[in-house]
Amino acid sequence: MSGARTQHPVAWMAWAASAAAVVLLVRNPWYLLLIAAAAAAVRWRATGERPTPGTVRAFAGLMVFPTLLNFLFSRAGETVLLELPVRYIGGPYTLEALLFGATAGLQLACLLMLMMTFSLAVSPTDILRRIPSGLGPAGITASIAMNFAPQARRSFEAVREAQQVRGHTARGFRDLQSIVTPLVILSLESAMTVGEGLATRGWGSSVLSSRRRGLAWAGVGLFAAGALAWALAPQRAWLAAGMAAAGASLLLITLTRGGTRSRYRPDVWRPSDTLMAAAALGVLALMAVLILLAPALLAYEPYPRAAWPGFSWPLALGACLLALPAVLFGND
Amino acid sequence: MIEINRLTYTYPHTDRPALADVSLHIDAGQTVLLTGRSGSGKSTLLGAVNGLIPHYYGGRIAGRVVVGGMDTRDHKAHDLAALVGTAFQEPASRFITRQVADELAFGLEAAGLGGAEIARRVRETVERLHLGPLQDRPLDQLSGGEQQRVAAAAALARQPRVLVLDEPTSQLDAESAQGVLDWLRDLCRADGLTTLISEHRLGRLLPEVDRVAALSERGRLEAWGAPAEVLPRLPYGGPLIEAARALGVPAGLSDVALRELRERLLAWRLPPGGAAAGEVRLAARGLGFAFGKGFELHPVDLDLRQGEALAVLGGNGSGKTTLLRCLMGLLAHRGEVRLEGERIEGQPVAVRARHLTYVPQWPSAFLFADTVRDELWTTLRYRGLHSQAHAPASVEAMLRVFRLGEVAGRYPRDLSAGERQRTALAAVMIAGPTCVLLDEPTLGMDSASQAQLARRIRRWKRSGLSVMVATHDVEFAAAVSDRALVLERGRVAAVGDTAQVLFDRPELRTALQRLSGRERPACVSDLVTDTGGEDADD
Repeated sequence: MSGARTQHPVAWMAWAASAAAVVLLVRNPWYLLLIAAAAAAVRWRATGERPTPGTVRAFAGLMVFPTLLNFLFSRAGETVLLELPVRYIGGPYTLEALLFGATAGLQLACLLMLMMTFSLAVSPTDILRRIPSGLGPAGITASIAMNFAPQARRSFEAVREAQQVRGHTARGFRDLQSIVTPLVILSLESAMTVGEGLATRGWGSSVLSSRRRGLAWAGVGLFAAGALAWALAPQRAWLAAGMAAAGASLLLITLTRGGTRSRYRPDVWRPSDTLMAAAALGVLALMAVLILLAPALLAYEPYPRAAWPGFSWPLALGACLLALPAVLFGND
Repeated sequence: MIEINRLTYTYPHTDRPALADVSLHIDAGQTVLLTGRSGSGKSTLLGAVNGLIPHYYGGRIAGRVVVGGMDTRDHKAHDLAALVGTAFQEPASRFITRQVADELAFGLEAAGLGGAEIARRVRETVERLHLGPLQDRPLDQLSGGEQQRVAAAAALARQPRVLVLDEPTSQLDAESAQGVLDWLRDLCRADGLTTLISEHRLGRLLPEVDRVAALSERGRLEAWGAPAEVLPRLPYGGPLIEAARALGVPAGLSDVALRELRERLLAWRLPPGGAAAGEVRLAARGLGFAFGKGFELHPVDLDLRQGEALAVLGGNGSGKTTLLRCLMGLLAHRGEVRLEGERIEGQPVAVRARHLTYVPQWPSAFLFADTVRDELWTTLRYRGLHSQAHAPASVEAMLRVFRLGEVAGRYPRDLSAGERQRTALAAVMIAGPTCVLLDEPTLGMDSASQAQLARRIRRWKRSGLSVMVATHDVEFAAAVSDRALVLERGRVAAVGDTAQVLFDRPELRTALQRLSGRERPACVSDLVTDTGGEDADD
């Protein structure tokens, strides 16, 4: 855990955001697999933990579910695997539908893997401290939301245990309803508790002067006016976009520069952070350019007839750059 | 410093006010103890002072609260934070960072201080509050007492003029609690802080406070004044006050009264008899557990007989909970466990639960049905007993026994700590276990509810039930148990007759033992025998 925190949180944010964007842009399973492997490698280097059977099952489920869903409901594709003499549900069931579903599943699993690695490296507090000071109440709401998931896991265990002590034997899916309600309630309660602590510790008190607050509101107004103009007069889109952009920048400037908070132990930005962020952003830029110039390199379209997805070594190496944080741990 | 004027407050979605027409005037530098039964609105009143009420929770408010010149209607909690520092009941669930020094700095960062100033203040807080050895430790590795100190220190780092403490010692063993209180007292004296502390257990705090405010169960201010005036009027008090009442000694606890009480205790003779315990019901041999590299429960041997109560004592982190959870099968352990002579190590929890049951600390995760009545039915359904003809009658009877009739239709999680505990107990007892494991059942309970629970456990024993109670409260252990087992850092340090085990360790002696210098009487229930029917509760 401590190893994962040696990189700067902002470098981690750049890494996670780039990798997630690449996953959403790319549908080629080879590169997706490589990115998933990179994220897993980073996570493994950070924790030293082997994946538990539970994690493996969860990932398998995440991939199988969309595969089956698409296989059962999509009728497109030329390679028919199965056709039943029944109306509506008889098919045809095609190989292409299966492959398309599997790619979507892989994409989902890839995103989850990235998020798991990211949440290990960066705590909600790291993010909270980077929310502009002008956005106090929104920050409290955000922290409640970020604390929800880890609390939910703890609550799940507590509720499961209580049910067993009261004589309940787990029976799979039918239990779901009996556990969901207490889970949501418990997790919300504990997330609210954290929010209470934040408020009484003075988090969310605005250090913005009233003049700056006025400027921020002006920014919001300008942005809204831009959006409205776009809706009313789409033929003058450039004017509307200009207004919205000006409003957004005004808002951003007043909120971030109005009262930057000092930190007790500021995170140090080191050359390795630059390397990590630059590599991640570089991969994103490369993929984005390729999407525009040669979309066929990254896409994988099984319809109408399945074929092996394309593979290019330079691109694969590019995707592997996302595993850089795993190497950086070794340097500390 | 704090001016509360005719404050009435109702939480959202409720009808009954949590505080009704409360007025208080607290001068700068005073230490005020806020007391009252659980659910009487103590935490609510503290929330009204630090500004969480009304802005964070919502609800309806009338009257006004002015703290250091700031009206809480116009200033939110985060603005009042500069003036009021708050430490909550369960600090661990409210820590924001992962490390002690960062936690101390958090409020200073939020206040927008400069980097050098933050570093200076953190250093100063660490030095002044003697937190040096703790400052670089991760928060989740601190003991309960250390966490409580860090929470108070984090509240104090901003140098507020008012300190609000919500039951700062309710989760601590006697030694840590005394340590925290001494530390706080020195602090308040040195800085002239205005301090507002809520606490059930009065004994410990009385010498330290200037004023006592007592809230009634309806959220009204019942009494307000100097401790010596208020205390005799309250229906509850520390063990000495209760003993004085039981023996007919004036309850003011002046030196004269204490001397008289001591003489009466020395003249007291142990009544003859005492029930012999029955067959061994639950037995463990070489029961051990290792958790990572941090904690280990060394092999424990124990016997729990029919009609007997065994107290498991020990400080925070000594392994009490681990022992209970191993017996219930919630942790994979080493060694042998027998229930009624039959080996049960291999049995899953749900199977053990036919005879053995367990109620965890803070039973909030334990209650998940829509109503109190439903909780009882849920257990019956889990056990497959819900279709029996007498099930409805036994549910209603159980609700009566646990005095839950009035709240049977209410949502369990909205109840007070005492009511929640009773609901959890009713929810496991409905299945008719023969052996009950209770983990810190008195946590967050006021003294009247504690006394009630003690009477209830004694009644269970008379009806042949076996009970095991993990607790850090020696008074409670003395009141309910026949034998005690003391754990220290995962090892059994002592086992034997409760009064004797407590008396042999000066730090574990009960208030009566300390006053009389004798092993018995150890607690008020030694002085008076339980009266009343088997079912009715007070």
